Amino acid sequence: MTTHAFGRRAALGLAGGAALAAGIGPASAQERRLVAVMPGPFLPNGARAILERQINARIENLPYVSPTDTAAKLMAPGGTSRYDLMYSTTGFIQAPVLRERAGQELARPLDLSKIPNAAKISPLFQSEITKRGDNTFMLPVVWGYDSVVYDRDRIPENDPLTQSWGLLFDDKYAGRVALRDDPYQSICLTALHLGIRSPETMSQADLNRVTQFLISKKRNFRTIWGSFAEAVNLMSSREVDAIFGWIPMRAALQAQGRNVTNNWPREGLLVFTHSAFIPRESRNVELAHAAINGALSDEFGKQLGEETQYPVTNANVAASFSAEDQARLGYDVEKRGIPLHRYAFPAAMDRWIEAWGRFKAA
Amino acid sequence: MPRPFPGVRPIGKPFWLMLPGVAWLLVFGLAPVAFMVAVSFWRSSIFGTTPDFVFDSYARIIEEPLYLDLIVKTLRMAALTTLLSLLVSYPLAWFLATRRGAWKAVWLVAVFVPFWISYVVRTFVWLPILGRNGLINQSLMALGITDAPVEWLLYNEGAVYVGLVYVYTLFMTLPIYLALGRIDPKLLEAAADLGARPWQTFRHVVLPLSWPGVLSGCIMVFLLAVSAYVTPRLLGGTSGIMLGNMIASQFLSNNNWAMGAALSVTLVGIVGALLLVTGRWIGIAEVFTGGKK
Repeated sequence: MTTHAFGRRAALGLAGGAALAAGIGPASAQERRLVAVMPGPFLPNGARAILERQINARIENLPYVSPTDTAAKLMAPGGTSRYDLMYSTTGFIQAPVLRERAGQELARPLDLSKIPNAAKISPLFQSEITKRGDNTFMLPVVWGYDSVVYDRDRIPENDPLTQSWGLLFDDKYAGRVALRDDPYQSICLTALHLGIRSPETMSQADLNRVTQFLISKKRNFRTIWGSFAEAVNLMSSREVDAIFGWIPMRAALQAQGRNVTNNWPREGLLVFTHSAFIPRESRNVELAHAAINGALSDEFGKQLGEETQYPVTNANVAASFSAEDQARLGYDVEKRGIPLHRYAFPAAMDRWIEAWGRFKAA
Repeated sequence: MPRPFPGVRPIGKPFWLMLPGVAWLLVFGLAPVAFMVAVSFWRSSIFGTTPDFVFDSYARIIEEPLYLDLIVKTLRMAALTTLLSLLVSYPLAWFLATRRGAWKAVWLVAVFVPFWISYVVRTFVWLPILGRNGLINQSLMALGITDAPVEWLLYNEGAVYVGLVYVYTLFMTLPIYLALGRIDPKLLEAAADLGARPWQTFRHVVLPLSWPGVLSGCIMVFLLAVSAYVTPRLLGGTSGIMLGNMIASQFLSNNNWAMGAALSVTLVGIVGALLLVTGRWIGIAEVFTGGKK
């Protein structure tokens, strides 16, 4: 009957459509896929293409929020089997990943024979390799620094303040600067500015001093930004002339034609590495090892630097840039003679959050 | 009493028909709240949250004055947002309810369209409007009203009110509009025939009859505003903090789920108590019973 024939064709069509929609089929069944959680800027289009070609698999990068969110994702029921590869700030994620005792680790030991590019990690970052006993659990892949990104057309580069965190606090630029709405980074840089050498272990009295100082300077801050786009927009719309900012913000603003640069605060530059690790029950262990190896390759590192200005830990990549580009990208931080302050989770993070709350509520 | 549907036999009291609704409430309503209450008594550290039974988080909330300050500030801002929303929405709802024909549909769509856009975008849009180089400042300077940008339009508590009232207007307007739409126009004519002035008609006829809509709108806006997070963060600048922001920090920056949950439970408890107390004299029960006694 006509109706039956039509119905069968329609049913076949619907089934085919449903199979396509569900990703069922010979092609997709064979597609290799790596589920990753890493900051988006570490996988821009060009660098992603290189990495996907190297590992012959598609990378599905899930949203990255923060180191604590990464820890929460891992600790959630089933968290160690849901993702194949994760990146996070080394100083923040080490403790939650390793946990208190051997055998409790949420990551699996890396097989370094499958990551030959690990040998290229610069001596500067050897101390950032996370080990317990003979096992290596995390490898630093990307590094970076956070400082003040400022507009050279509005703030003269020869002003001594530009080489200090004081650029954010001095009354000279009141109302033209913005901090980040983040208890850790904002309190850390303020503490460094006030001469506190180890902010993460500072006493409650020092934390109170930092809080009072922030409150006393509250009117100087035009606002506090919460996201990458918000920060870039603040600068590009000339709402402010200087922000506490990240490397890719500088890159994004320069790409817009803005005459911005970052400072090298003499009180101490905030530096970090992002380490890669494989969650304990990852279902794509081979692929994840290949991806870490690829992320440490010369080709990937060079491309990442060109796209986002983020430096990588691979010493070959640093050496491949001209002296001028090394200075522009910050590969020469060691030669600048400024203290480097590495991010670490504060012993009393609860109090830091409350201090930041007091600043905002004041 | 005649059966409304001849030939259809009643099947007793089919309580099982309520099962889907009850299950929904239990799974998506009560269970998350129960879990939140449980977590608030747990212990959190950088290594995760362990299911102990401790009062540490509540003790901290009590001993640290910051939390009380934030709760008071949050309640004050939510209450003022509710009041401002009511002042904006009641005339708007009256305007919509008194339109006729095709224009009524046009105006209704005009009110609804902005709410098809993401909440975040609707908040973000205020930045290029109120900013230093935004639309208002550019206009003021172009018209020669000001020589320099007005700084206080953005990044303060006032900007947060602008954002909150804007994003929650519909939640106030809609119930009032529906309540006004149910008022029989003959009542207004009767009041006028009996010599009532417009204000007296409003005071003694329109307002009492639209009161359930007003209450419903106020409760919705208050509850939404009390848990606001995005608007204060985007528009409030250095002062953009409400309890929602502190709760978010506990989860996102500190991995302290216990403290975040305890702050949430505290807020729920205080808001619940407020509704209970104020509900006695503003007739809040009408909102939940649909006006039936």
